[in-house]
Amino acid sequence: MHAVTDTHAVDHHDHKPHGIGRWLFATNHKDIGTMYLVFSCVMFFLGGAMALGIRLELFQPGMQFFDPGFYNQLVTNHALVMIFGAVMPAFVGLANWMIPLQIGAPDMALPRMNNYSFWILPFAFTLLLASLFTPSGGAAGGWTLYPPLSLQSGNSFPMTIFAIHLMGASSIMGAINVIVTIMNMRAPGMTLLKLPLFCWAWLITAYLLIAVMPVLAGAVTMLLTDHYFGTSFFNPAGGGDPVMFQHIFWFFGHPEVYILILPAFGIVSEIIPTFSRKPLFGYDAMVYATASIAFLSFIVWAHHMFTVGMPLAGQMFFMMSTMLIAVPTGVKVFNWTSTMWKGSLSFEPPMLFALAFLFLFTIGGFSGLMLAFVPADYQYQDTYFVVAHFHYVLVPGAVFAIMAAVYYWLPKWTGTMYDMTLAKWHFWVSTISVNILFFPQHFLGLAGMPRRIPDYNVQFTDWNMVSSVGGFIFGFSQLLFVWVILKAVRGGAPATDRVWDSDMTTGLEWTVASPAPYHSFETPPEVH
Amino acid sequence: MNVTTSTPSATDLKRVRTRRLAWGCALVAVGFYVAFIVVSLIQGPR
Repeated sequence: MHAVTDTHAVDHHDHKPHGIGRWLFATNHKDIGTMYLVFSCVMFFLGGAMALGIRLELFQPGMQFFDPGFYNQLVTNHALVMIFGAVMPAFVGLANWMIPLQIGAPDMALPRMNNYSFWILPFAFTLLLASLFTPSGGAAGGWTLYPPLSLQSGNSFPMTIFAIHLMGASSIMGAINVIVTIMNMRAPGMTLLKLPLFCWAWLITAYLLIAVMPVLAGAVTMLLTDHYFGTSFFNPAGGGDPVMFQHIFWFFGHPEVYILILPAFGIVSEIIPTFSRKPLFGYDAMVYATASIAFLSFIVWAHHMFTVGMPLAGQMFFMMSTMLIAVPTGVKVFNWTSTMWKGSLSFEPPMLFALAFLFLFTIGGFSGLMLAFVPADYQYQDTYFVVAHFHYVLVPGAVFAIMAAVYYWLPKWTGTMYDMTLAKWHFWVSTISVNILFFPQHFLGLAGMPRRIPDYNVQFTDWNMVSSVGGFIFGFSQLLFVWVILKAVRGGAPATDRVWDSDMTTGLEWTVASPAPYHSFETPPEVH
Repeated sequence: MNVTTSTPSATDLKRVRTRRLAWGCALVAVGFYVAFIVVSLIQGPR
């Protein structure tokens, strides 16, 4: 990337606050990053437990464990917890840890707001999860909260709405912090086109967040007033229109999908050059491709609702614009592949996860293209094919990228190398089981099994059993991940400052000591 | 009357820019929130 002349990592007065106050009143980006990552890990296991409940019920036809109402609550809250509690906070945690280190800044630009945006989250999720224990149960209309179904929820409805508001406020504050930090606190000489790609991806994601989280907030506010204050935004009896909710929701929802995946692109763009020992192929193209994907994400929303009955011209527009996204995404996939071409590859755990991402995310991308095709979508709409599609994008896509990032930067955080053998075991068990879990869901969907149902026709039994077995192996194999991390935190062979044996570790984060000192870059490094 | 003048330091300017950028972003967010509700009000109940 660039040569660094002045890299005074200040570690001679590494005094940090102690006790609970260090975490409650944290303003240090590394502490807040750690809290986000730990929170996200807890949410992964909670959301994962809900997923295992779902797979348990679907292991065979008929009702075994839950009543249908509770099953619907599990489905709805699994999605909300995984999207807003697990994947997004994990990326914000990585942003907190790595952005200041990568741009040579001493901290995030707004450290107290950073603290606030983290500490909102535990309250938001306590509220959301507590709603499951109310007499009427939690939200059960799906994470999309479509009216009129969602308006039939019981009195826990405002708890869900308020929780979503809090998550949104937290995300917006996190996004403001990322934008201001990257725009204003880069080391001298670090022009925008020298930014590490993880920072670029996050900068673009942050703009997306600012544009669309308020739209979700608006949509759920209107649901709330429809429910309790007699308005009729989405109620046809009062002249409203439930389809309008779907338009507003997906105007948020589609960019949200990219909020969940763009930081993952950034991570993979950091890891592949390191373990290919070659500079990233087409840096500028990667930046422009990311920006194009972000732009296109605003003009494709109605592909989520082709079957509501829209004009043919509308269907054509949204079909074409959706297919257009394959172009910048293809640029990225080809650039990652070209980076590896004739490289001196090695397969440490971060690279293994990045490679699995490359293959499996692409499967999710292709099934997305199939769904973009209107006549085909009429068949796939609301089947397990859709479930298979977005789980391929989010699990071996976003979640694998998060794991790759943790395995990549963990030695920089803890100062110790983790157990490579165990990490590789974690990789292989996860990768094989995630495919056993999600691939059969394509077959189920194509055969016509609808999504969001607790019981199904006996013809779907075999693949559901296979999927459930994969689900349980995948779920429990994540305990290995936690074990590898805990083991590294407790101690191990010391990591070098550069950590990885590669000429491509040229980013500023590799110029500070391992573990990264509590206060870094008090004197800004000079970047050429 | 004593008037002291001083040139703002680079840090001061950075702080002003930081604050301005942060409030700008927040304003955009609030704008989107209000805009979508207002548009829905016009579009919705007819």
